[in-house]
Amino acid sequence: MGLTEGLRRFTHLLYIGTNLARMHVSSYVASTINTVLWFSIVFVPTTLFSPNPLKALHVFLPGTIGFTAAATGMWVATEFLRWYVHEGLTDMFRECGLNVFHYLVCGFHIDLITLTLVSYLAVTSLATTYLGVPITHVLPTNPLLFALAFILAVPAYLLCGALIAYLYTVTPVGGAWTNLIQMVLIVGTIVPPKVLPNPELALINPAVLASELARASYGANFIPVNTLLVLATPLALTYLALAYIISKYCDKYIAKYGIRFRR
Amino acid sequence: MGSSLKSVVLAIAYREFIFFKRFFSEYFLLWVIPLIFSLGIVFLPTTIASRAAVLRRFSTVVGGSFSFTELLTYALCMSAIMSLVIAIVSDVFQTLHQEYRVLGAMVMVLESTSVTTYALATAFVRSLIMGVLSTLYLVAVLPLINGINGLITYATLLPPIIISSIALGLYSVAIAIPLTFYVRLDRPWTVANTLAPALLAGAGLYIPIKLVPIVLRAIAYTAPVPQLCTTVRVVTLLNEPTQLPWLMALVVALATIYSLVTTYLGRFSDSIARRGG
Repeated sequence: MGLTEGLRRFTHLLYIGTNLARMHVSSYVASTINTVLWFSIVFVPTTLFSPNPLKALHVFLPGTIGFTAAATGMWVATEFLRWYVHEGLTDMFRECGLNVFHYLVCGFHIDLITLTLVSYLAVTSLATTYLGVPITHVLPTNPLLFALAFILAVPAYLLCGALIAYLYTVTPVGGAWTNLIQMVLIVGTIVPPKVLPNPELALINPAVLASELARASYGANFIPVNTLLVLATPLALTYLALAYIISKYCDKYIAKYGIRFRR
Repeated sequence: MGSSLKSVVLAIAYREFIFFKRFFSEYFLLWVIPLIFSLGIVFLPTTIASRAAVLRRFSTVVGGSFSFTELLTYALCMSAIMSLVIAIVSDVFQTLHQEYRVLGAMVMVLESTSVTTYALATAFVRSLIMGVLSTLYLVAVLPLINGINGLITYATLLPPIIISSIALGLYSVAIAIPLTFYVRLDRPWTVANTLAPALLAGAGLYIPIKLVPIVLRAIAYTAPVPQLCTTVRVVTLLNEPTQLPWLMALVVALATIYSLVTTYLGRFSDSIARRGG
């Protein structure tokens, strides 16, 4: 497949994803509000109980960029293999040569803009009302690093989605995988890498790269920016390649054994 | 009527225990996730400041002087509120909606009882059972932190948890009835899943409610969640059990209002359901 053909297929997938999202506008609105409310339940007390609330906000909240992207990817993959199996749509996708990777690519732009970026901005705005500080205090000081963090959230979204899809397919455990792995992904993202003996170890978690770069955009990172920038390209490419390979394995398994609906 | 009500209550109770067995993994997550949230709220600030500084800050925000054990006990008890609100608000609403709009099970229910009786019995029985089961982990967790005092804290909190769970169940059916019988929602989960965090965020949960923006606070005051948060604060931090009867009287008064609303709306819903929607 040439580059032109690849780009054409990619554009088609984005088109399909955009149209799918248009059919679920109320779900996106509800999910965004939901995310904002849950984050406010956790982050407002966390920052208020910190001796320096603004510093706490700069350290903890950017961690959600990577975490939310990865978690959304996992829920989207679960949706493909749970509700779409229930509705008989998974097979329709597969008959067109599309697997979970393609389904994730379909909607990543909408998912990440609404559930990651808009939610993040809404929570930060809400936090300023609790802290009584102007909104300028919670805007990233280095927008370029923040933009890079957002872009690098995409490979984390795809890899975590593919990984959960594989686990969901080959094991009898259902949606519980998503909840369990979500808890593991907290380490290094929302829980800063500082808790580990060596902060760089946190990069095992694919969502940490985006989270640490988002922290770096506030000057609150624990892994040096140079290390993050050097690792950004190889890690992103590795995550993308892994996501694709894992999705292929997932599809092969479904082709061989089928998949039944379970919660 | 008496035997019909008894049958409805027994059927709902039986189903709830079967649900507990069948969806144990969901209950397990309902115990673990709020626990992680609460531990995060206590320990995350300690990753960027000393434990003493966090404790001082907590004491300033909540008002008083507290030990770290008290802070931990408080946070864990608050996690129980999170568990029971998620369980009751989401489940009571969604089950009623599913039974009527999706599964068509309401036809069978209406053969033996009315919408009002069924809704009230659901609110009382399911909420009571879910309230106790969703917060059961406190029996194991509180003694780990505070020994026998942890068990005493749980025993003191159990009656308010039960009363508030029933009130919350009644609140949920009072909202579920109009949204189930009077309007057609394509995605009922959007309401159920948003209402629970809105109530929790509005009640402040870990922080005093006066710090919460007025819009969120107004939403929370429609439900008995702020009273339950105050109850936890009174029991775990302030040690003023004399305030409990007043707080519970307020919750019972709210429960009475929700029951009246359910009874009123239920009568109309009954005829709508019997006409086939």
